[in-house]
Amino acid sequence: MRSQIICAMVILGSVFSPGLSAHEHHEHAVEKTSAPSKDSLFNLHSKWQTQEGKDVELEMLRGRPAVLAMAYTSCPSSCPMIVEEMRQIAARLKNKDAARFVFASFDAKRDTPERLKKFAGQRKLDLNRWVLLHGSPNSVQELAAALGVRYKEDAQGEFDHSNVITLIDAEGVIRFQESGLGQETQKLEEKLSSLAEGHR
Amino acid sequence: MIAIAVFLILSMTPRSAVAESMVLLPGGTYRSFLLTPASKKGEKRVFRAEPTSVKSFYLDRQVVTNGDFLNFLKTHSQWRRSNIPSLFADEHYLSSWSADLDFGGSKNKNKAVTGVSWFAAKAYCESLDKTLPTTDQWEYALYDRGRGLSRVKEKILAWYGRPNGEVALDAGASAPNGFGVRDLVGVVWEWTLDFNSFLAGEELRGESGKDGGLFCGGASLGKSSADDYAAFMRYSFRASLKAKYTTHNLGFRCAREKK
Repeated sequence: MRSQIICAMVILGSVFSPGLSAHEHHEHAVEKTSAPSKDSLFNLHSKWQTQEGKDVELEMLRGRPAVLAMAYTSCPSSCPMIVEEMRQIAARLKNKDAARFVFASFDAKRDTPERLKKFAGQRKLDLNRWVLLHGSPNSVQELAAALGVRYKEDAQGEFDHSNVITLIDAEGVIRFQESGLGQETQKLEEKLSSLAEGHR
Repeated sequence: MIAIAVFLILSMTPRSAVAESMVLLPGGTYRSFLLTPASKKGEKRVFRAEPTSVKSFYLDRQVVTNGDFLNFLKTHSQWRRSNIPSLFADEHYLSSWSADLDFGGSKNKNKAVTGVSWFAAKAYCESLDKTLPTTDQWEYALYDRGRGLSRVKEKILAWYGRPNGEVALDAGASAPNGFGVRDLVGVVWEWTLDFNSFLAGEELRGESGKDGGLFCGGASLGKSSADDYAAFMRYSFRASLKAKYTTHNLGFRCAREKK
């Protein structure tokens, strides 16, 4: 049955600096942009913490394409596959700095920033390109709702969840979505590359 | 005696402020109509109606009305029809309203507000320090400790069988159930906080219609839910929703945790 658990992956198009503080980011956003477009994920004001423990909102991702997966680190089967798929997408992307890869955890209880950082180390995720996000149950719920990701926590604290791959552009607008694990990611990568080209 | 009376009145005051529009439901269990994943890899999904525990909570006595929602929009302009981000609602958001702050005449004031997305419903409840009820809470309220269950089921099926578009009832017009909650049946479908905790339609239907999918009928259903097509319709409906969807027959009410 765990084979039917499906992890969620979202490709976001955006800019993000892991070292950027919320304050710096705020100034950056004010000078560069006005309100997000009406279909942008940046309309969500849910609060997150990065693997470094920095407080952020999704708007931190503005400016460049990126890939986001909703999953959790203790996921027994499908989540490792999703991270691996993302790693491969990252590896095949020609311009290494043109996109960012984001792992947003369902697991508000266990996936603390510390644990996410440890996970990133174990999975050899390049933190210049990846960000791992810890959010409250409410933040998780809102992001999942916006992405059309379905999930449920069971009595053991594991999550059944749907697998959705979403491409959003640099303004946070969803440009492509793909459901299911082990799907052909070629179309998604083509769209990602074309978005990335536009932001060189 | 007077002192006791005064004490009682004073100690009751905060609670009765809540109780005016909300009712406190005692904790208990109900039979959940759920897809229960089997634990081992490769096993088929089965449907089982397991008793689900629900803690005591407050629930709105009736669905939220156009009048209620207008009051919210007056102070929360970002949720008005002309302002709401398309991320949060599709193009039919409040489409029955004449304008941003006009629900189309006093006859609509006490009608359930419909055409609201999950995001908007959630924001409304949060503005009142409430939340949307969870699916378990909502279903528990409907189950009503099994009081008049067969009559309720008949009423539900009769309602589900009526064509859409008939004249909507006023909120609160129907008789309260045993908990004192109205409108659960016969007015509108209602959002729940975790409407998206069930896998989508294809999961409910199963693979090629031949294994544990619900559409395959009795073989895949536990005995206690085999006849509960009404519940199945609700769960299927929720599974078909997305958070930005709005329809003319989907409204909501709010809940509040008992502290």
